[in-house]
Amino acid sequence: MGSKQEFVAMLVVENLSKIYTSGFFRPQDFHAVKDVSFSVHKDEIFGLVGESGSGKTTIGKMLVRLIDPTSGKITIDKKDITNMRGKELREYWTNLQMVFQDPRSSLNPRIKVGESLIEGLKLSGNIDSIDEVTQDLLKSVNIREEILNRYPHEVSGGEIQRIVIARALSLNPKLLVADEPTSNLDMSVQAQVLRLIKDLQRKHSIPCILISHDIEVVKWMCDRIAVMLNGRIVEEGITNDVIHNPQHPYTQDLIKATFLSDIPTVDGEPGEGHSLHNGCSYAGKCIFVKPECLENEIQLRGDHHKVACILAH
Amino acid sequence: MKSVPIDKTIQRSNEPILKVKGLKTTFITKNGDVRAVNGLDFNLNNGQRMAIIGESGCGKSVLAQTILNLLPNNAQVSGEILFQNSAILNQSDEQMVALRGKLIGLIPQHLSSLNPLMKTHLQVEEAIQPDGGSQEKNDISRKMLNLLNSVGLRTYVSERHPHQLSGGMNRRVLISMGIAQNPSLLLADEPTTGLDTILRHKTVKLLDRITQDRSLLLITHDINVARLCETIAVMYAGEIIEKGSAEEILENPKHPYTEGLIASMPSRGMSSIPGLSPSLIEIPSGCRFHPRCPLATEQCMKIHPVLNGEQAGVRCHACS
Repeated sequence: MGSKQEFVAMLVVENLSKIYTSGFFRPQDFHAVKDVSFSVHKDEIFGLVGESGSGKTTIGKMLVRLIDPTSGKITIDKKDITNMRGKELREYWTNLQMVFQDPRSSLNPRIKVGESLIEGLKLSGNIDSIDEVTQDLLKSVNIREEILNRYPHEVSGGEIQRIVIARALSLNPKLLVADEPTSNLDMSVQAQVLRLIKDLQRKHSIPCILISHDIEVVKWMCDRIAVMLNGRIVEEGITNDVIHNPQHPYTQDLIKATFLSDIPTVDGEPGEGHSLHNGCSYAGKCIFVKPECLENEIQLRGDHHKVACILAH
Repeated sequence: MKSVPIDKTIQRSNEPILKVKGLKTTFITKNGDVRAVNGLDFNLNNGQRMAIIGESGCGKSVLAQTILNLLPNNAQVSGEILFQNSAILNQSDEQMVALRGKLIGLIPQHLSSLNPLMKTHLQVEEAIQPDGGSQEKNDISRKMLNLLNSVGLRTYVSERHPHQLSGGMNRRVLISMGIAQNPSLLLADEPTTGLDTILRHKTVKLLDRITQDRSLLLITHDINVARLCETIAVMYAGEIIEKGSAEEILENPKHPYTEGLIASMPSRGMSSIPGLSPSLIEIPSGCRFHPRCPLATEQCMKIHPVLNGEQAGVRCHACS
């Protein structure tokens, strides 16, 4: 997939799926992620956009191998990491880093921020250069040294998120996944943190996956984006193409909602009634719905700007 | 119980429904006195909708808690709050009970305000009749269902517990509880936090609809949501530093802090304000924004500027 495009893909995801099964006597399957494929170049920020429950975070967690995919393949730098286990995975894990939505809960509340920051370096065995590396890290994320002696609850949300980002990058990872890194932060602090992620991503030139529901953030941050609905990618392409020329009715509505203009959709929860048919997830709410939409799942098609909608082809 | 004689009928007039004068809320803690609200003055007219915006820790949520007297015991309040021309500050708990929900409704910030062990219908029914009054049970359940429908929830929601509902649905349950007794003033504290774009959109539309015939004080850090209101007040370190019509504030901000706040929106270039919001224990001298202000002069460090103007104004030496 990657070889056809003009860049060398650093991260390649092929037909990734995740099925959660719940219930003991009558197990029920829930498809959190269905047949998702994309590839990300090493100098690129790739955005995953969608509503709550669309499977964005599940993809992020699968990419850093926090949860196992049900099927599909993840390749980083030509190395298949889908089925790594045990010692091999533990050693490779330093290359896969994730920044979570709530920075405070990703640090241990009982150890000082500074200890948390260098924990990864210590475990990876680079003990000699720790002081030097720490200084570099602090400089790169613009944090005063005194903060390292505080506990997480004594540090502001923006500072703590910058510490978490510094920690994620301390081990020179090959992939950074940022899951809603600023949705708990104020608008003015959000700007600082997002700028930082963008600068560091450029400097380290590693592929970055940014998960967000905020089109405006994604528009500013990402080179390419994929719009997700009910576990599937419904539209993918260069950020400006997708945002200024959205092809899928769902993307169009998502963009309208961001700017708080009127959406002419049928009322109800996202994906409601979807289980009644096999077709497009948005068919129940789409104003352009046709009988064909309900019959088969619509495949993602196109060259650079891919769309999963019969109207677009 | 009925010690606050207040007229419930809405008259659209320029008569203020809520007057706040020189309000100060201070929390006494072992690290020092936290001055969360520090000299706040504003009027909210009958039927007017006003948004209070500002960063975390500027005292905007404490304001809502002060109005409804929901503060913890270590809080000290001074100043004056008049609701429909009767003083409601330092009233007894009994008098406040007569006010809360009936005349001033609150939509709390956290979804954890819902009881996780109670089904939705019990919680909404409780909001309709909190004091075990005389209404018929059937009447109340009918009202409860009407209320849920009016905020766009289906009937089955009433039989669910909060954990079985999505964030947006729980938010709408809280909104329905805030308007359950048809209050003439609604305080909405960050009603869109934690919601994704589409749910945020729906919530703003819903708030717009339910505040057509009542006054609204909307507390938010989301500038796009503040557009819902006619008036915006910008709060910094416990005081209002700029207020005016929503359009004026968003398109033509005067105070350097307001400018910075608006420039930090992704659609306006996302440049951040340097520095951090001040600690409310040691508030900077002079203009409270001067350590972060690009235009600060010596005067700004020494003299505390005043808010010039009643309906619209700015608290800044450089621009007044």
